[in-house]
Amino acid sequence: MKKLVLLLFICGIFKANAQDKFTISGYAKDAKNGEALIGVTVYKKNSQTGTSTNEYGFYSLTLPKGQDTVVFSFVGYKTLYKAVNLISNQTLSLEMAEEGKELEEVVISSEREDKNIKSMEMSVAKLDIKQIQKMPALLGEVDIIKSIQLLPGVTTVGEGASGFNVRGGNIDQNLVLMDEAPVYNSSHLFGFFSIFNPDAVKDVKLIKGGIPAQYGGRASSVLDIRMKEGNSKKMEVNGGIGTIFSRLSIEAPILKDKASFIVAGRRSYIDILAKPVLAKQQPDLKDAKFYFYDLTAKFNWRINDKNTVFASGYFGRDVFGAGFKFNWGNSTSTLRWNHIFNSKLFMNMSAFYSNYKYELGFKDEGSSQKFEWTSNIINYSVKPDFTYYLNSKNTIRFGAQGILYTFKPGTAIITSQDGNKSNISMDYQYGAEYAAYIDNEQKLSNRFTIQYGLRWSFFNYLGKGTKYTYRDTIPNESRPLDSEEKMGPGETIKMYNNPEPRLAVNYTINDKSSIKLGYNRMSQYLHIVSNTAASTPLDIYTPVTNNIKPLISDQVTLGYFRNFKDNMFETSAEVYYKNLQNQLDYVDNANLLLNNYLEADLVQGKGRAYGLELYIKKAKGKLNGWVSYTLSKTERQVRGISNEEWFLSKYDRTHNVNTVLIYDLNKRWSFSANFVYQTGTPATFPTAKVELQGYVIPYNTDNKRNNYRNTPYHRADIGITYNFKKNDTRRWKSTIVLSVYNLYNRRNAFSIYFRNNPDYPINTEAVRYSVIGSIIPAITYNFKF
Amino acid sequence: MKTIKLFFALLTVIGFTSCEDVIQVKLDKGDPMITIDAFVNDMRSQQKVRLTYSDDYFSQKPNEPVKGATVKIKDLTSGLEYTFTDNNDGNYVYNLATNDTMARVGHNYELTVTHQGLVFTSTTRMNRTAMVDSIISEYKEGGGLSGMDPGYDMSFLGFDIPGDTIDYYWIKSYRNGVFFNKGGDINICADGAFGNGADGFPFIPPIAEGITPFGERFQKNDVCRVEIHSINLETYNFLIQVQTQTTNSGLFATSPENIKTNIKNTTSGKVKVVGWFCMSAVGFKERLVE
Repeated sequence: MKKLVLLLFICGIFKANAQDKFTISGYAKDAKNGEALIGVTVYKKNSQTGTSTNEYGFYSLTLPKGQDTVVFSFVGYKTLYKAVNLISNQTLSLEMAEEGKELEEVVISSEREDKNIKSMEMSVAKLDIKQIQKMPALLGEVDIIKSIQLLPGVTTVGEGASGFNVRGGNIDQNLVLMDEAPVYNSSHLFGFFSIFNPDAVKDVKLIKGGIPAQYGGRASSVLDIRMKEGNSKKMEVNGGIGTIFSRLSIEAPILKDKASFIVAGRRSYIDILAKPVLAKQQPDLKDAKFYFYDLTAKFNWRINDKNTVFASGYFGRDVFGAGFKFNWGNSTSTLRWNHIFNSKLFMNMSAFYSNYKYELGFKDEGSSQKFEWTSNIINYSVKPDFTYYLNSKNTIRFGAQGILYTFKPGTAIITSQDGNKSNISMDYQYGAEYAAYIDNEQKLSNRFTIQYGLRWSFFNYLGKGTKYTYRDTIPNESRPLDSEEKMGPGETIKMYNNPEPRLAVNYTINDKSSIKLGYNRMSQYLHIVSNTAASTPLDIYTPVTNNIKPLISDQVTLGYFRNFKDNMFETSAEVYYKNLQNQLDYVDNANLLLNNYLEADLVQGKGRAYGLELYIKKAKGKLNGWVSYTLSKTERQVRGISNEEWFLSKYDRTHNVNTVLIYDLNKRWSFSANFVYQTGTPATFPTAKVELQGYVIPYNTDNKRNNYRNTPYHRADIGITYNFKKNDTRRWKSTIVLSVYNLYNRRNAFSIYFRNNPDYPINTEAVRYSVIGSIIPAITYNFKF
Repeated sequence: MKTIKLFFALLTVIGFTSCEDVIQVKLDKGDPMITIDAFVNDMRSQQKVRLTYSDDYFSQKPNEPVKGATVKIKDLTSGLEYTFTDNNDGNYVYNLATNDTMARVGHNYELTVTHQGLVFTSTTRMNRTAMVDSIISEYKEGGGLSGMDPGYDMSFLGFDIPGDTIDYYWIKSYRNGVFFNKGGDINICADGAFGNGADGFPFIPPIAEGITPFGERFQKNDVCRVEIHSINLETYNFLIQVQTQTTNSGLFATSPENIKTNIKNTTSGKVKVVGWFCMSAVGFKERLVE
C-alpha cells in the first residue's frame, strides 16, 4: 500500500511539464461583504480543467499559454466569465455578487452544481448557514450540531446528549474544529444547544469517510467549522431575541477591503426572568445561577497580495450554582497566516491554544468548609499546511502538526471547618502529538481522478508523572497495581506511532454520475472517559498511556453518485465498513472520577460498524431539502463483558430516516419541516430482581449487555419564517421565526429504567424517561442592519 | 451529589418538559438464584441474615424465602463460632447479648451458609467506626418550586477517626424507627468525604445533611436516629453499585450492570449465588425533634 502510494506520487510529479503553461491565481470574495468564498469552482470554459477555492478563498489554476476564458461559478452567485491572455503567471482576484433573486439565497450546496459528481469528496456533507437558519429548531435556536444530526450516518443518543455519533462512533471520535482549533465539548446546557453562534459561522463541513491526510487525531469524522471574517465593506449588525438566547454580532471594516473584524455574543436569560419568582418562592435558590454565554471574535488583515493574517477567539461558559458551583466551557484562540510564495504555492500557518475547563464546588454557608474541584485540558499547537498547485493535473498538499497536551483530570481541595486544606488532586498528564502528511490529487484522465496520501502520527506520553503497572486479573475486575514509577519532566513514559494511509478514487462515468471509493486509517491518542448515556460536562479525557492504547480505525467507503434533471436532484448511495481497535470500555463499578488508578478500571475491545446510506437532495427551486435513509449496524466485543460475545453498541441504529423540507412561498414567507425516525437505542434490561438490605435490585441473569431496545425515536418539527422586509433598499431587515418542535407530541424514550413504585415499594415497574415530553413551540425575532 | 441532582432536576423542569411514564415492557425470565443478605453489626439487638430466591423482575410479591438452611458465623481471630436460628421465614437470627463476644473490631469473620448440600462462604473483617457527636435540626419553610413541605432538616456532627488507613462508613438514618430505604438515600463516605484525603475531618455537608433525604423533612416530635456503620472498601464499592443500579435514571444514567457478590458457592459452580457479607461496628445517636 505504502509503496504504491509512493510510486503514484513520483509518477505524478515527474509527468509534470510546465514549459508552455502559465498559472493564474488569486482570491474569490463576496462582493457584498468581502468574505472569502470557499469552494468556488474555477475552470477553463468548455473543459474539464478546473479547481476550486480553498478554505481561505484562494485558487491556483495552470492553463496552456494563450487566450482563454476562465469561469467562476458558485451556486447562488452570478457566474463570472473572465477573458485572460496567458503570457505569464498572473493574479486574478475577484468579487462575486449574489444573484438578485432573493429566493436563490437558499441553496443546499453552495458549489458548482455538479460538484458532487466531480469532486473527490465522498461521505461529505456541507451545510449552508442560511439554510440551517430556516430549518425548524428546538426552542427556535438555530443550531449547527442539531442540524448535522439530520444528515445520513449521523445520530445522537437523544435530546440533551452532547455531541453526535458518526457511523457508530463515540462523540470523542469526532474532530470538531472551530477555525482549526479543536473543541472538546460542543454543548451548552449538557446537549440542548451547541456552542457555535450561527451569526458568526460561515461554513460547516462534515467528513465521514475518505478523510484527507491533513486531518487526523480522531477515529470517525471531522467537523470543520469556519467562522466569518467580518464584513470588510460596511458595518453590519445581526441580532436576535429568542426563547433561550439573545444574540448580537457586529462586524465592520477597519481598513476598507483590507481589514475587518466580527464580534458575536450570546447569553441565555432564563435566570434573569426567573429571579423575581425565585426570590419570592424559593429563598434558598434566590442566588441560584444558571446561564450560559459565549463570545466569538475574529480579526483579519490583508497586509498585501501575498500575506493575510487572522486572529480568532472563542470563549464560552455554562454557569450553574446554588450553594454549590458547577461551570464549564471552552476557550480557544487561533492565529493564522496565509502566505502566497508564488502563484503555485500557498501556505497557511496556524497556531492555536485551546482550554476546556470545568469546575465543581460545594461550600458550607457560615463556615470555611468547602470542596473545590477543577479539571482542564490544555492544548498548544502549530500547524503549517502547504498546497502546491503543481500543474493542472496534480495538487499536492503537505504539512505537519505538533500538539502539546496538558491534562489536569482533577485538582481537588477539601477545606475543613478549621481551615485545614487537604489536597486530593490527581496527577497532571502530559503528551505530545506530532504528525506529518502529504497527499496528491491527481487527474489520471478526464474521468479518473485519484487522491492518495499518507499521514504519519506520533504520540509521546510524557512525564512528569507516574508510570503505573498493573497485574492482570479476572476479566471485568479492576486490575491490581503492580508497581509505580515516578518519571521526571519531559521523560518519555510511552511512545506510539502509526502510519495512516489515505486514498480516494473518483471515476466519473459521465456528467451525471460517478463512482467513488475511499479508504482511510485514523489513529486517536486520547479517549473520553464516560460510561453514562449522555456525556456529561464532568467527563474527563485521558491520553493514551503505557496501559491505554491508541484507538485505530480503518474505514472503506464505496459510493455511487448521480444527478437528475439538470442537477435539480442529487442522489447518492454509499456503503461503508469500519473496523475499530482498542475501543475503550469499563469494568463493572468503574470509578472514573478523581481516581489516580483509573487505568485499572479501563478495558479495550474491538468494534465494527457497517451500513448503507441513501440520500436524495433537491438543491434548487421553491421546494428544496433532502431525504436520507441509513441501514447500519455497530457492534463491540470486549474481554469480560457480555460473555465476551459481540454486543450492540449503544450507538447502533438499524434504521434511520431523516427528512428536511424547505418551501419558499414568496419573498415574505418560507416554511420548513423535519421528520426523523430512528430505531430505539440498545439497552440492558433485567431478567430478575434480588432483595438485599430492603433494596430491590434489578439483575440480568444472562449477563448480556444491550439485550433489548428502547422504543423507536421519531419526531416531526415545523418552522415558519416571515420576512418583514418591505423593499430591498431599507437597511433594517428583520424576520420572525415561529417553530414547533415535537409537533405530534411524542414522548420518545431517552431511556427505560426499572424501579420500585414509590407509593407501593413492593411493586416493580418499568419507567420511560423522555427528555422532551410535550410540544415545544418557540418564537424568535431576528434583525439585521 | 444529591444537591446537584436536585438542581438539575429543577432546571430540567424549568426549561423543558421532561417526563417519566410507567410503561409495559416484556422481559425474559431468569433462573432463580439464592440471595444471601448478611449485614451483621455489633449493636446489642437481634442480628439477621436473610436468604431468598431471586424472582422475575415484574413479580409483584416479595421474593420467596429460602428455608431450612444453616447459617453460621465464625470468628477467625478467636476461633469461636455462632449459629443463627432459622426463623422459618427466610430470616436466620442471633440475639446479641450485652456481654456477647461476637462482633469485635479488628476480628476476621467467616460466614457459612449450608443449604441442600450446597455450601456458600465468605470472609470479612470488622473495622472501627466513628461516633455521632450530635444531631442538629434546622427549620425550613416549605413551598417554592420544588414544592417541599415545611419541616426540619436534620444533620449530624461527627469526625472521621484519624489514622493511616482510609475508614469507610455507611451512615444509616431513621425517622421514628423507619429506615430510609430508597437506593438513592444510601449515604456512604470514605473518611470524612467521598475520596481519600479527608482523614480526621468532620463529615462534609453532603454527608452530614444526607441523613434527611430529599423531600423527607422531619416534623415536631419525630425521632431522628443516626447510625454510623463501619464498612470496608469492597462494601463501599458494593453500596455504590446498589445505589447506581437502583437509581439509574435520567440523562446521565450509566449502562446497567449486575451487582457484585462476595459470597462463593464452594460446592458447585453451576448454582448462582448473589449476596453480600459485612460485619460493622456502629456508632449511633437519637434525637427528638422539638
